[in-house]
Amino acid sequence: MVISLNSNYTMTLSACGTKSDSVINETVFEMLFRTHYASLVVYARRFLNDTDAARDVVQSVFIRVWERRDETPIVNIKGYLVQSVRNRCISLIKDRKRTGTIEEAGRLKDEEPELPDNELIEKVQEVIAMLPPQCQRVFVMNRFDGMKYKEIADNLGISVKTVEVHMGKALKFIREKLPTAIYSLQRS
Amino acid sequence: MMNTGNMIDEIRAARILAGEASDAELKEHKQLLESDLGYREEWNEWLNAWQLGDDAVLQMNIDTDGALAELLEKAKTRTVDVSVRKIRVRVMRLAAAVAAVLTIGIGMRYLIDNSKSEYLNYIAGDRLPMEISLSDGSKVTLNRGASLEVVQPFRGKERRVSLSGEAWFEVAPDSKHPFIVGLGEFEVRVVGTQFNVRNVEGTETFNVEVLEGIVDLVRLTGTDSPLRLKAGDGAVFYHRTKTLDRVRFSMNNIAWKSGRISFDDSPLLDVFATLERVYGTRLVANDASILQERLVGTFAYDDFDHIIDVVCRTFNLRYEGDSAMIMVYRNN
Repeated sequence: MVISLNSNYTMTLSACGTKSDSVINETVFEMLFRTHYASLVVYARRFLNDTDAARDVVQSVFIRVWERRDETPIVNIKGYLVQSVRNRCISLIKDRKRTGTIEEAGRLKDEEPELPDNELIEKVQEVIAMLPPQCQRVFVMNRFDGMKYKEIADNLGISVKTVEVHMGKALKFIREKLPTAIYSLQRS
Repeated sequence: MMNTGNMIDEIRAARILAGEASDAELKEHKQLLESDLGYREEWNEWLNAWQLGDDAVLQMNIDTDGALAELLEKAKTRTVDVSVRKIRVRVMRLAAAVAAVLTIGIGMRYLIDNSKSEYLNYIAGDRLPMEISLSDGSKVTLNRGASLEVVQPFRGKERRVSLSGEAWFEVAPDSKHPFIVGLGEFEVRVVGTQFNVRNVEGTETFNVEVLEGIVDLVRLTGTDSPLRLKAGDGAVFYHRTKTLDRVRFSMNNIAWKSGRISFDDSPLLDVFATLERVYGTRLVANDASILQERLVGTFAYDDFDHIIDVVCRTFNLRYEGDSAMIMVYRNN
């Protein structure tokens, strides 16, 4: 049961009473982790603009779940995970605001990021998988590994101009395929 | 979501989004964004595609196995580290029995340093104020939606609480242990007294009103000396201009706590302003002379309709409207 207290707090009440069979053992925990970890990191990154920080936040939330596993089971685990990640991101951003520049702080309040639409993201993954191999490689090296154009060019033994063309092609492909991705989502 | 156009070259778009564009390109881009609506709309599509591509790439390539292994390793050896508070905490589980208390408010507990004191966070619900008794005998009444953070029992040389929203304080005297209400940049320091504090996020001011005793308002930044408030005094701090004004304290400001609103020969202009403040309903008169009539009377706090009725009967008025706004007319 998720209760909304005011605009800053919601709380999940767990079912009371004797232990039910939905206790989290290692197998269940692993399954939860594998199911939700990636999309939660994507969500956290939308707040923090920093992949490593996002990973840390999600990890710490899962560690909490693990450490609480013998206590009363949580009824809506996905809701709990999302709320926890959100709350931690917001705390982190508030802390950053206190000690750093506003630009570094991250997104908050009126611009709070949306929960990622998993189905849509999977469709986009399919689109990316359709890219020619070199093009895909370049796009991933820039977006995931964070390499600059020059570094990619040196690494793959191609010119910066070629890298630019690959990046443009990947972006154009995604943009063109997006409307159909959404359309097929609505149909399914 | 149609492709709105193709005036933006994809290679250039990717360069800008990847942070590889030249200063000149960026400047031109910003100018076009500001001046050309069609450009801006198309740009949003490129941006959207880029961000979704980002998310997709991250999700595809994330090393879940590695993260899981790392986590299980950590879980076996670590003590919980909450970087936000920088103290060791262990969340205590909430029993469903707490649900009965939820309509009024809830408390959340955290253990601190294995000692007997707990860090408590009280949050008043939407319907009723919440009464809290503190370990020194002080009482705090939280207005709806307000929250209070405090370590209980009190430890150390000070009795500290942190407030968001509105609360009425009745502080037990203890001159050796000043009672302090933290409001971010300011602190309210008291020795033993009854006072009201209103510090609501998103509003322009915070207010302190003193009924009994002495309160010092201390600014933590800067070198101002504390503002001392005595019974009947109040203070209003304006966030934007950072000015602190001393004001007279009106009992009607704490009508929510005292349960009473009184008017002592007050012009309806003031009466309406007070009612608006307390109930949130805008009160408007269609005839300015109505606002000059004077009212004497004491009313129970929870009886807004009754108050309006009395006002109207007294001055031969009628009213119409709803909970957002009421218009008052003369009966002719």
